[in-house]
Amino acid sequence: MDILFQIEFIIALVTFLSIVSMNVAKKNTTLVHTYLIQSLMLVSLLSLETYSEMSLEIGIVTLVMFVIKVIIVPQVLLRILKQHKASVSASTYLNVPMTLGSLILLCVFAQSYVFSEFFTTTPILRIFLIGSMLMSFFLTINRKGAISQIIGILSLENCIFAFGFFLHLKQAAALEIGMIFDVFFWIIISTIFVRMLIKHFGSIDVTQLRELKK
Amino acid sequence: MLLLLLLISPIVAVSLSYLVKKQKTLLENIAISSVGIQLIAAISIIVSVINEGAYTLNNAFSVSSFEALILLVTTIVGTVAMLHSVGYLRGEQAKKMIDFKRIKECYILLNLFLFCMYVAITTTNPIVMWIAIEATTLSTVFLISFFNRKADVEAAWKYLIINSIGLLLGLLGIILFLSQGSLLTGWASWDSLTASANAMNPLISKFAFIFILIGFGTKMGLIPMHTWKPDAYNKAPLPVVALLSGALLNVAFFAILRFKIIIDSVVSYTFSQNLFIFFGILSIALSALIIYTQHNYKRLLAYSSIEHAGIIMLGFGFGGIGVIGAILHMIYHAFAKSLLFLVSSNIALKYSSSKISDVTGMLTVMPRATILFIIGLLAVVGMPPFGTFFSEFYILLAGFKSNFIISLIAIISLAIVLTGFFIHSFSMIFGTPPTSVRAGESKSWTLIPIVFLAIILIVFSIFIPTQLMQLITTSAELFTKNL
Repeated sequence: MDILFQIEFIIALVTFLSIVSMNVAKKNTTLVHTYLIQSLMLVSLLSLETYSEMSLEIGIVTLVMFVIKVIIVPQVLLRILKQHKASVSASTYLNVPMTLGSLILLCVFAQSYVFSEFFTTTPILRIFLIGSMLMSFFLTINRKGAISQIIGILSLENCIFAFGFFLHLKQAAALEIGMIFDVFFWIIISTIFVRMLIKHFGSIDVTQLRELKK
Repeated sequence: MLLLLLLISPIVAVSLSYLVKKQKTLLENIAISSVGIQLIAAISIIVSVINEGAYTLNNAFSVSSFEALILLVTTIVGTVAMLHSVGYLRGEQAKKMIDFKRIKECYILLNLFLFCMYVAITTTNPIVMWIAIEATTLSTVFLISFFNRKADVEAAWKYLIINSIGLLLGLLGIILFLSQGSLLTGWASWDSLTASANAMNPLISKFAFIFILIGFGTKMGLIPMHTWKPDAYNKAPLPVVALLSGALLNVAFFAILRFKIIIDSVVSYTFSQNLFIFFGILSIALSALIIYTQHNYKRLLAYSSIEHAGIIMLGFGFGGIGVIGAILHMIYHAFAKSLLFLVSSNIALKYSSSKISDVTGMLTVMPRATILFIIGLLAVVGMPPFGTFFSEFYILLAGFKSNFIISLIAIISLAIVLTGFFIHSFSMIFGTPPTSVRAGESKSWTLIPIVFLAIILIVFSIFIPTQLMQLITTSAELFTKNL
């Protein structure tokens, strides 16, 4: 294995660990900080690619991603948590042992023959990348808090991006930036909705949303 | 230039509307001019496609026969919904439900929504299409929470989260397809993707297609990914719902069909056929049961949308003449359902309720709107002479040749839907109106666009111009050539 791939492998591992810790985190602030680390890993992947290909285009994408995913998005989320003192509400439907059990099952599934066509030369990447996507999805559905759900979706998006990277998918820089701006607008809109939820329901706990059932 | 005009027109309208301060009439004029330009541009593009086979702006945007059909439907529904919005928003403002700021927001977001759909239809790149469809979620979510009540915000949140997850799965599917072709670096187009289909891994492609089906199927509201749909349709302003059901449903399905062409080149067509039949029949059968027991006419129409999405899927699943039926059904359903939602908007303005039990004596209260309601109703349940009867007939004809049991379940479900609709509508149309409701038709702005839509529906049901039929058959060939 060349040195670049070894670094990329470590980045995939950290991404995987970040999503595991997101699933067991007790505070929303921890979730946001872990998301920051995860985004930083993606930026590192792109930085490596910028270096190896000496591409200005990829460099611009890397910079845009850094500004939006590592600086703006965490700040927006932390500000909303600070304003509404919602830092300790990150409750889950399943308790920690059950959550961990589910994560193990998802990893086993990611490593099963179902996904055997992916990453045939480095099978462990299936757990790191496919497992991370499954765990991000699980994070979104296992959390009661709106902020946690937002982070689950953002994490899923990060994991899909990493997955595409390891599949050597190369799109035009304009498209990559388009997708990153899409995430930017998504986060702006979803945080507006979190504020609206707090205003109307006095909570970011989505189990309190029962108006439609009336 | 025409395609550029189509794409720029809503953006110009958004920019101009943003600058307007306190002049509602000016906002309305901008919106009307914008959709007028869009309609003219779209019709000119379609004429160009009929004459020359395709209309290409550059390597990023192009329209051929199937895109032209979807564009035609989207533009007509968009124009009618925008014109209707003028009267609808005036009505809501008169009832003190909304202020100028909300009206401005509505026009801006409706134009953005139309822009996103035009991009999704005309782009040659799958990622751009994904960004545009994701952007439809972002532009419509504020329209769903438009009245800013508790339940509206809840419905909008549900819509945002479910659709975002769904579309991320769709993105994963697209990435899986794109990562397989050696030709695909930089600007991948539908043509380059199809050209590299032979080199694709069958198992990975199957995964990719399933993700795409689930992802964009969520946007369509197929069962079991439909849970956002009845709530969103119930809470959003009805002209917006007319667009969601009449236009966006087709655009999302169009995205799936783009990939159906590719997966049918990679693996046997039976793979996508079976998936289409499964999701199609599930959506038809379950929504039929819910329609029968529904108490809210907006939700009733939402489930009817799910049912029709199922019928269209079934048509593509059955193949053969079913594909022609399904394409026709996409067109007829868009017109019929938009018509019904827009009439429902007049009903909601008049009765201030979405409960079926609160709406009685429509024929006495608003006879002209009731006639339009009956036209829409008959079209939606597939009664002759409306086009939906023929499209469903073609689909079932194809089904009885290949899947007798599925077709039988579909026919039974359609009969349940028919019964359910007639029972619910009978109580709405006839009977004594509530004393609190004053008799009188809606304002012309809310009525004339629906009459226009009804005329289009009736004319297209009786007579399809040869050139349009040529577009339909050319489009159908895209999906039958691998059979």
